[in-house]
Amino acid sequence: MGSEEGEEARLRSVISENAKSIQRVRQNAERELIAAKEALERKAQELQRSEELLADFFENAAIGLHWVGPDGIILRANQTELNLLGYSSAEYVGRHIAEFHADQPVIEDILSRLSCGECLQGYEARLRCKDGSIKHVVISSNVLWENGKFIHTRCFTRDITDRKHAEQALREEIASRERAETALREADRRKDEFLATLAHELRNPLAPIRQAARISNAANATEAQKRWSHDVISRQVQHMALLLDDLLDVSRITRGTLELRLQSTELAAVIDAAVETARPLLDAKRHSFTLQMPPEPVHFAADPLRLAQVLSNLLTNAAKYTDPEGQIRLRAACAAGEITIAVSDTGIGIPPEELPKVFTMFAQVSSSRDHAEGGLGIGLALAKGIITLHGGEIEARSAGRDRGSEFIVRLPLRAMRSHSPAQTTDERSVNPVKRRILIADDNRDAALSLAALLRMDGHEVTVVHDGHEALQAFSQVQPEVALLDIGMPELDGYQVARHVRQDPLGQAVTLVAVTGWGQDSDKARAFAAGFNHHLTKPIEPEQLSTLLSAESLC
Amino acid sequence: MPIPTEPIGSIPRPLKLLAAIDACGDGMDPTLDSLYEEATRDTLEQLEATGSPVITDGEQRKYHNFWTYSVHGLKNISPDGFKIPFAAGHTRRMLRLTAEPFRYKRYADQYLDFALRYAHVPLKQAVISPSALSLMYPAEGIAGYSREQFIEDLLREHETEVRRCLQKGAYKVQIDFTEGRLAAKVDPSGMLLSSFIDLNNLALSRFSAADRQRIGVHTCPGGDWDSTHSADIDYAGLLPSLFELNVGNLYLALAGETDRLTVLRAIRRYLRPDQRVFVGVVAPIDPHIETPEEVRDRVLEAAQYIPIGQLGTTDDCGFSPFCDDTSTTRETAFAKIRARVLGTALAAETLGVP
Repeated sequence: MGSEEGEEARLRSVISENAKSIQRVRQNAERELIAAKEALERKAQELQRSEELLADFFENAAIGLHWVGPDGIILRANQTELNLLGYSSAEYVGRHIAEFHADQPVIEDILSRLSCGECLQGYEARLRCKDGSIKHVVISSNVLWENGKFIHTRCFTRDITDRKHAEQALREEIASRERAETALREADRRKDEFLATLAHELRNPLAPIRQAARISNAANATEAQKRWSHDVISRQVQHMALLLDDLLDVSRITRGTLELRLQSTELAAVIDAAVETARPLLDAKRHSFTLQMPPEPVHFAADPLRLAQVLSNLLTNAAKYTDPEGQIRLRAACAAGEITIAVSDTGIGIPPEELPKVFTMFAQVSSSRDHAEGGLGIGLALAKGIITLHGGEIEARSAGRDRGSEFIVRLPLRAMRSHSPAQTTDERSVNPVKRRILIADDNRDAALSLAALLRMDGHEVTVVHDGHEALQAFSQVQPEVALLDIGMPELDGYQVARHVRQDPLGQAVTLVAVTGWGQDSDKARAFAAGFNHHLTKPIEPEQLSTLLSAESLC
Repeated sequence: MPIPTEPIGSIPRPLKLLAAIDACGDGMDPTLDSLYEEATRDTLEQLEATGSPVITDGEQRKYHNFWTYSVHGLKNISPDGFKIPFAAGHTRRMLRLTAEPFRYKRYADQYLDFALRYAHVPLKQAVISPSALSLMYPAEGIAGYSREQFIEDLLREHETEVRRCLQKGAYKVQIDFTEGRLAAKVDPSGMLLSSFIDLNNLALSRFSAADRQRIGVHTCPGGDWDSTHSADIDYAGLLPSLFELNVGNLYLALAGETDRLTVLRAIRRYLRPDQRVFVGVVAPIDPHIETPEEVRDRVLEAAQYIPIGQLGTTDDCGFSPFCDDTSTTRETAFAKIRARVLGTALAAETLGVP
């Protein structure tokens, strides 16, 4: 029994000591638990801080960010992206991402690729803003997967709208430059073609002139042959003069120096004159020509010569570009304060792509017949310029190649304030006055031929070929009129004029500059050097006669 | 969900096995393996035949007893530990730790390894409580190995054992805490019981709430040779402390109690909402085999005090916690278990539990 009591006492002792130890272990465990809790709280705080920083980064990143779930619904978007598109969070988050894409195939492709595990980099897309505008963006995106499950996309959206616009502007500028370069090349090509045509057109008359001159000078030439040669030379020279007139007219229109001589004009008279000019060609190609005129005479303010020039050009073109025995028609009408003159033909027509260019300089419809028919390709440009100066317009129509053409001229029906016709120089009376004239020109032929013409009118003419000779002749001849070429070697016309004006004897002489340079600046320079008049080559004999016949030359 | 019913654990070993162990003199002799395996397979089959939805391996391989299986065979133990006196006059002596360190010789999951190969229904595994093993540390202490260090080692070893059982698929892990009632007897002041509860809660605190729903604690007055070591202690007085255990399941002996209603009232008072209490409806130390109707009546009686959703049934104790206990036959044990299963089902039917 005593042993059992001792056993029980030992057991109680163990129990007591165990209880103390368990208490200490528990206290240790509690301390560890507290420490662990504190560590956990610190971790939680760090985690919370980390989450706050990440949230701040997400919201304020300089790039748009959003998450999209596997069903395409936007789960989250940062402020940058909302600002980019102009939506509030409530208007954006919770909606399907496809609603904001301008191109449905694009978003379908993006979602498909992401669902397949692809990582997108630099994928360009267009997003629809709240205000209806479009933003160009570059998207980089991949998917957060957990245990093979699509959680959400991680999408970065960068705005490249400005870059896109700049690229578009650059493309347009490049295209514009390319168009301009193409136009320049085209203009250059036309210029070359024009120069070649001009050379051809100017050279053509030379052969008959040269041959006619040789025939005329032949010792055994008969009078009939000499008259024929004279007619040939005269015709070819006239042709060349017409070419040059056209060129000069175009030049004047281009420089804005062409002036109309408006007068009360009768429409029928203008059309008659034009038809008369074109008649030889119409007849030569046996065209059927139909003329339709207004029932009553029409009077209006116009330059009849220029207008006839335009209409004859249209009729001549129609005749040239229509096969023999074609039909040419001119219809004139007057209605609603406007005169309409339409010239149509059954000729080669104009392809649609050529229509906008027919009135540009040097334009001719591409055709193997172009050169065969001759011409500089400036007639229609000249016509447009003249019609525009009249306040009208000209239009070309054609159903296409080999479908004929129609040119329609519209002119305002305006009456002249004064019905007295303008007096032209041609109509002025010319008093035959004999003058003492000095001609200075290094072009001997030009100088001598002009001298011959003037002598035929009874003038006393002295001819020299440079500036020094001109100054010597002044003191010897004491001319009343001096026709000085400007471009002489050593001493040019300006210098001669200044020397003459410095001499007391040279004050009374009438100095006339004769030059190929006809710009206003050229004229101003001539007057500044002491010239009284400025004539542009080639000199019209009638114009010179008028000048010389004036009672008071200066 | 029907009223759950589970066994406590031990089933009397076959006499052939006990004779072989006795003849061999060493329960761990490898020549006994085939007999252990045969006994385990037969126990599993017989238990499944009772219809019990949850079974154990009958602790056929827990050589010697439920208390010391984990340390038996260690070099640093001595058989001269404390004596546990039973009401019938016999005693059981505990083992004593003689030197550091304290380590388990084996973990109970090794029994699961074998049983799981043959079981067709969920298996639960019983393990010894850390409070029981805490009595191995001697009163005079061990030089260089403090009691605190021993407690720490004990907790770690216990945690390891429970985790291994859970990881291997034990349906439940039941911690045998039969010394609870003994503690109240030895130390009427309650300090010992309180320290046991503290220690076991320290161990339980190492598990998650989900794990604790798969862990239970069993207590009883200790049944051995149809006798107990602490049935004379007021059970109702013990219960408040038992329900302080932070565990999801409690397996309480009730069938053998003389005043069941007082116990049931205590259970009703202290049972926590997150706990299920499995009350004993058959008494292993009682030679009488309960009828299913008797069991049913006990369940219906308990159901008057315990919410159905928190009520389960069990055996009061293992049928043979000590290996050499042949006071109850295997047939009796299986018959009692069958009665528990049938009686619980009858009660469920009566209560309208699907």
